[in-house]
Amino acid sequence: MKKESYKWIAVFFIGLICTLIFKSYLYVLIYASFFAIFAMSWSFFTSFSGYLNIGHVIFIGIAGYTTGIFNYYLHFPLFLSIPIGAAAGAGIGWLFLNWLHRKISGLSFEMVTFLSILALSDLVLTSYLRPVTGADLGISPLDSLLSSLPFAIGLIALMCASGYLFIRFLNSQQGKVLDFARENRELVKTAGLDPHRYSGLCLLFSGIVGALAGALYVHFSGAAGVSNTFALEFQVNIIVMAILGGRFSMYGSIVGAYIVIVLEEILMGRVPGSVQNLIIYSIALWVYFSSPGGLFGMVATMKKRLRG
Amino acid sequence: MPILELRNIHKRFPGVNALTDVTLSIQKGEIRGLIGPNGSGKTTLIRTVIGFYLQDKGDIIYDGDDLSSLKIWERVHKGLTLTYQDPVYVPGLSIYRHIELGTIAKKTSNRLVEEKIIEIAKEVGLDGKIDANPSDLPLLSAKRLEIAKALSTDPKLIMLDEIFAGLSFEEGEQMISILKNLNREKELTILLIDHNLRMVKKIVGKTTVINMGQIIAEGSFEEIIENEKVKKAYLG
Repeated sequence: MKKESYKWIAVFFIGLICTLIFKSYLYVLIYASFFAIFAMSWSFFTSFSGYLNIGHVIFIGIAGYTTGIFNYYLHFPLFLSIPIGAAAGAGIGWLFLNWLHRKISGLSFEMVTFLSILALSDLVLTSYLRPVTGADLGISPLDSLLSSLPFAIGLIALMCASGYLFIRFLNSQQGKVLDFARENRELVKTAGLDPHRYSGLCLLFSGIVGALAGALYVHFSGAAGVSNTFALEFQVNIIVMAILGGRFSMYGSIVGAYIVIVLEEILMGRVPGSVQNLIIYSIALWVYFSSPGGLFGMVATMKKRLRG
Repeated sequence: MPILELRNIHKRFPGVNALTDVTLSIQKGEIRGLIGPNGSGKTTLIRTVIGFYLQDKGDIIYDGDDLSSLKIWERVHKGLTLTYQDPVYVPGLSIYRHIELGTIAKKTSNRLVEEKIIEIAKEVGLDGKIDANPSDLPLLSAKRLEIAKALSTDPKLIMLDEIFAGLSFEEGEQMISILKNLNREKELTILLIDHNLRMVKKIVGKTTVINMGQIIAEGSFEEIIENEKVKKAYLG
């Protein structure tokens, strides 16, 4: 694990150098770092537990709206509302998704998580909740986390710490069980282990990181609305980033997120939004068809070929 | 003293009575054969005992405890385990990792785990192959791995589902030698489910015959092959 920690320290320093070089694009780096955390936390559970979770934004959404409510309506300062939001997002989201993954698996889990985010999106938009959720406008303005250098550095540190902890988990006994559980749960049960206990733990870590980043993200965006929490497109973007970079690698999720956010920035104003999505999704499709392991998978294959 | 007692087990699947009033008692340290034609309920029986299926009626008493309310992994903790007819493994994960999986629930130190894995590999004849990929193993070695996986959970009773299936006579002899050793050295109780009567005969003390979900005969191998019901079940 020592080697792994050095790699993450290296990633942190690369990020740090980028923040210092591209000072005028700090907000792009911050957005990319947020999405890298979202993509890693989604990928961590989905890729390593064997459950395709289309409802990962449940963690982000509950955390975002909770911190929004505490900050905007109850005037809690950020340093209180963010942890409360993160705890609520991780806790409530985990209770729901953990219960769900114990009950159903495969296509049923995918369909239910997909329908859940559609239902939650509509729930926060409904006129009954408009006074609290602000419907389309969301809860705004929230106390803002500014696009500052210290914040960018802190976020990159959070990204690296999350990635390192995810990999530590995967290399632990729990991770070893997950290697078997995602392929064959029956085999794990007959080895005297409850596979759901391990996938539930994986979901909890995924949820804590996703919810913490979600609570921070709405304050960086200035509002807690559907588009930056429960929206299907938001979830799809996270999945696309993880797939593009390589969903079996934490580094892959980071690379995928940075590529997509930088591409969006380059294309913004030059092409319409739909064309922008078309380009990004086409690239992701091409990469996935060429290598299901994403860009990281491609690199690994190339390395193998070079070594003969 | 019986280690496993099945009392009036009934199991019904839509359109079929898979097990009807199955009563069976296996003594500690015994090697018991369970034979029967295809579709007679042998595999259903052991899958019910381990907990993959819940019986509709009846009791499963293991070492004096009723297992009915226990999950599969809790039954395994008590010392009950099974092997699969077709070896089950995850390609790409080494033999070492497969044996290690069963030790995780015990939470022992890494050093002891390593020693245990090496010892188990030796017992089943997989020493020197622990880093191999199970996909690369010939059938006999894959069956050895099945037993190694089962042993890693420290079982008292092991249910072997068609362990001789697909093995040549010589390979079957090697498997018998492993099983006899485990029975003798570890006082392991073995419930052997198989079609290969020639092999079963060589190892079991007592044999139970099941047909259409019902126990139709029980006794020494010589007794049961002379039993009219057994002849009828096998020969029609």
